[in-house]
Amino acid sequence: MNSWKEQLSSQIPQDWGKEIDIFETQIELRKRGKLDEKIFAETRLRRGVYGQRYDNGQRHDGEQTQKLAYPSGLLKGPETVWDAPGMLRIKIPFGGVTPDQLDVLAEVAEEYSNGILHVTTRQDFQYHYIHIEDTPDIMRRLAAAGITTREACGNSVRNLTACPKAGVCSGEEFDVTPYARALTDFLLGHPDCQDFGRKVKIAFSGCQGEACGLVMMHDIGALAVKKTRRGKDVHGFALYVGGGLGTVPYQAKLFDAFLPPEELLPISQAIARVFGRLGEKKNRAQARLKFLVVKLGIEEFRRLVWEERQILPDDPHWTSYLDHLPAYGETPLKPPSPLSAEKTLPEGFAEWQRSNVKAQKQTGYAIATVALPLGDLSSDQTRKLADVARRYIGDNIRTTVEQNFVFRWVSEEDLPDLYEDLLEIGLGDSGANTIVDVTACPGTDTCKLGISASRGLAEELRNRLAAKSFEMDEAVRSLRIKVSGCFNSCGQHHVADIGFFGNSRTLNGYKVPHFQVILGGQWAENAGSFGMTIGAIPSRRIPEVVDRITDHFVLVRNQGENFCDFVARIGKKELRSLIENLMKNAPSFEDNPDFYHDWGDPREFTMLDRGIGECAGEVISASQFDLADAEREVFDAQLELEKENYAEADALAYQSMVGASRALVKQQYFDVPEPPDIVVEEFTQRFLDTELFYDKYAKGKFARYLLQRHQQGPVNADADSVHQLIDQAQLFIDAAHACYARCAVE
Amino acid sequence: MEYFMELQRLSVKLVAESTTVKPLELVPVFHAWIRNQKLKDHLMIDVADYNHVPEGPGTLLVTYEGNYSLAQEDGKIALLYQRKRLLAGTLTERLNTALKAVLTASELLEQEDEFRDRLSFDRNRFWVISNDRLSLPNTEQSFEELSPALSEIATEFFGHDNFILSRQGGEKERLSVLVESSVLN
Ligand code: HEM
Ligand code: SF4
Repeated sequence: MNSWKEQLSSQIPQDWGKEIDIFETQIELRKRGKLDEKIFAETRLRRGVYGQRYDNGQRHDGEQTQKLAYPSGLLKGPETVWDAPGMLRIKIPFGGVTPDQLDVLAEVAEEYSNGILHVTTRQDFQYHYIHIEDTPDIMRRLAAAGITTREACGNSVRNLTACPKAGVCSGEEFDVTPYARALTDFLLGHPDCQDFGRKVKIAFSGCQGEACGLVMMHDIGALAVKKTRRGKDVHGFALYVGGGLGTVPYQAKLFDAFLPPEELLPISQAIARVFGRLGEKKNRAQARLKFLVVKLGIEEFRRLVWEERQILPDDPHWTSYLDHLPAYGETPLKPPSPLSAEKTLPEGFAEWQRSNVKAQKQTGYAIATVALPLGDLSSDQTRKLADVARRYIGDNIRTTVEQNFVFRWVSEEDLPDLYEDLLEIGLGDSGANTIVDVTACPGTDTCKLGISASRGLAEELRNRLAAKSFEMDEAVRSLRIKVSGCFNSCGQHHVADIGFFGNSRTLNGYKVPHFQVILGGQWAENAGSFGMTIGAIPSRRIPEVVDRITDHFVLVRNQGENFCDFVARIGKKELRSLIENLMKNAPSFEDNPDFYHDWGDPREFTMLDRGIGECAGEVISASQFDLADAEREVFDAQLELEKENYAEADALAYQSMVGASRALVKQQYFDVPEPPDIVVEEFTQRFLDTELFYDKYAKGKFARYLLQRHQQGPVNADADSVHQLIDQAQLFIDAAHACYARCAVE
Repeated sequence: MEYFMELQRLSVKLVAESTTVKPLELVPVFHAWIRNQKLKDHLMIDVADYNHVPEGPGTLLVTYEGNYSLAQEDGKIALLYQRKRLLAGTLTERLNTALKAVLTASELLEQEDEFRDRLSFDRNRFWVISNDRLSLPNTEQSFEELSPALSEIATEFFGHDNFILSRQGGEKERLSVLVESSVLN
């Protein structure tokens, strides 16, 4: 077999396979100029295919901006060149990943990317330097392993995150995993989630006090709550809405203190519908759910959502997963065991155990963190890590928002051997969950919006802090540092003890990379509060900032005082005074050219490489997507005609017309059912009888093609009839586009 | 056409023994290559530093056509050319183009002022890696299928019959063939 499509057809879930085929056709349509670049951009984003730095066809080489003469000249989005390598984001719901999946991820990374697998700040994986034309095959190979990229980017429901310790954490109320799975499956591709002005991020947490789930900074956050009724435990969720990071971070608001599990899916659906309907669509800086919640007020928002909930048609998916809950559980690979005191421990083990290992609630088992520098590991390491997992824990691996892996269900006796095996593959670093374990967004390395080198800085800090971690005060050791390359906060700097985001200032006539310093964000309490902005410091002086702040903390902290409280007590003025002189007295370029370069980048610093971001994608309505789908169907009809499959071609052409009319009806009646009879009737009433569909010259002529074919019922299609129908369908779809545009203007 | 004949994504690797050059030193060098348009037949895009990843790609020169990387590998330095976009010609011609790409890069690196006398690649052996598990998976059959084309380029490179081909790489790794001069061994 010479295509992955054939080779894997029996292993890919049917609907996923079909979606990938459709995406492949959309790529083809775009190449032929038959799909608008903006619609294509949002289409690919919703399949996880993202832009990357320099895809606008230019790059500053340190002296001047060079044009990158990519071969085809075609675009895959506004100012985004087709041939430029891009990023692919892969969804890993709640971070759950198996060794077999890791094997496939490793293969794909080395064959199509650069042999690197990157863990993101939302438990996903990312590949960089991917060519768009390779993406359908990549998706097929991942899909065959049960992994999707669908809705990893774009204005959609993004990866659903959860505590990586869910199910094994001694502090949790209950294991949120099966609920997270159910909500993921329910919302993936859900029709009510296709019409957002912006992305929606959901997180689950098993408890209130820890950080793991970060519920308070999410659009929708579900916190496990347990009640006792008539002597029995009853599970529910405290549901929060309208949190989010970004330029201005918002804490989520309590929507319901105890939402029973049977309401979790329908309420999420109702929230999606209210957001789709009332959320801002034009001004993308105001389009996240957090703005709608503030605008309406939480009471009104709650009322609208419950009102929507009442009119939702019943869906068996809402509760069908509940039947499987009692059977849900993970199977440990090994029996439990204590770590025997007699065992000789390898060098470095004690340190690793102290930072990277936590006891599980199940006696005899431990959770071990595999720390990844900058969230990266190579394909070779990934395969070897998968084998290590097979040896000790089986399928029980999760990624974390701190860009690491956790191994769950490690039988305690195995810990020293596990440590040595990890060391052997270069993954035995200690310092996980400490100040050494710096988190960073992609920044200027690959992000189009990056201002400063977040990864370069993170690497520098990690190396410096690791070198002195042994002599560090325990209170400092347990701090968190998070770095974003710009104000968008993908690195989650707002919720770190010490956070940085990139910006720039002009000093001595040169642009100089800077980082804004944010102190005292709360990681605990599910990201319970955000940090305080102190001031912008030249990038090269940031290590000095870390030293001064941490030294001062050790010096003046009250007994037992944590960093957040310390920051609040000391206040901005004093904190700023600690670092104020680092903002001044820039050396001259001649004396210290390094000062004018960013970390890890020998080019003179510039802002000229920033492009337009795709974080929000394009706001494309559900109707526009449906019209694009109709285009694709008529294109497929043509292909079938060429293969002399007349019946298929006829059906596709007919379907494309019904689809296009449904797209128009959707503008007025979002939930229009799918049966063609209903669609055609609604279309007739709403667009023909009202003459909304009419244009100046053709009047309602093209709509008659639809009505005729619809009334005909089943036909014996032949080459001529199909040919004619395809031409008619194309004319009808063009007219539908024109009608949509007229209505949108009005 | 046989599937293996379609192999497009392939890599060629050379190693340098006992060098003091560290892959990190390549970061400014590759940036300068881009500035000076050093590789005429490649659209050079960017430089990426993955030296924090053991067994990773080290320092990467990203081009439209493929990636060049210099990384630490088993105590040596390996220069890899990973072709990503389509190559013209027959399988032999494609292999030749990839081999030429890595040879050209190796010579340019040896000529860099800061590497002179410090870096010399071993041209008695090179590795060809099938970066495509579909066309050419890591099997004995694939090895046999690839061998005639490899023999052709090896003959040209080392002279008639003066070479050995051996299959390398573990079960889950890609098919990798060591092409080695037999004269020195
Ligand atoms: C205006 C544009 C953007 C905004 C406002 C934005 C904002 C954010 C925020 C707030 C988060 C996550 C924090 C959280 O809620 O957990 C995030 C995640 C992320 N962002 Fe961005 N971002 C933008 C563009 C980009 C771009 C261009 C990149 C380039 C690669 C990028 C890379 C990431 C990554 C890797 C994550 C983790 C994502 C995941 O796994 O889902 N972002 N972004
Ligand atoms: S924070 Fe800024 S630089 Fe970092 S990934 Fe997000 S948009 Fe890019």
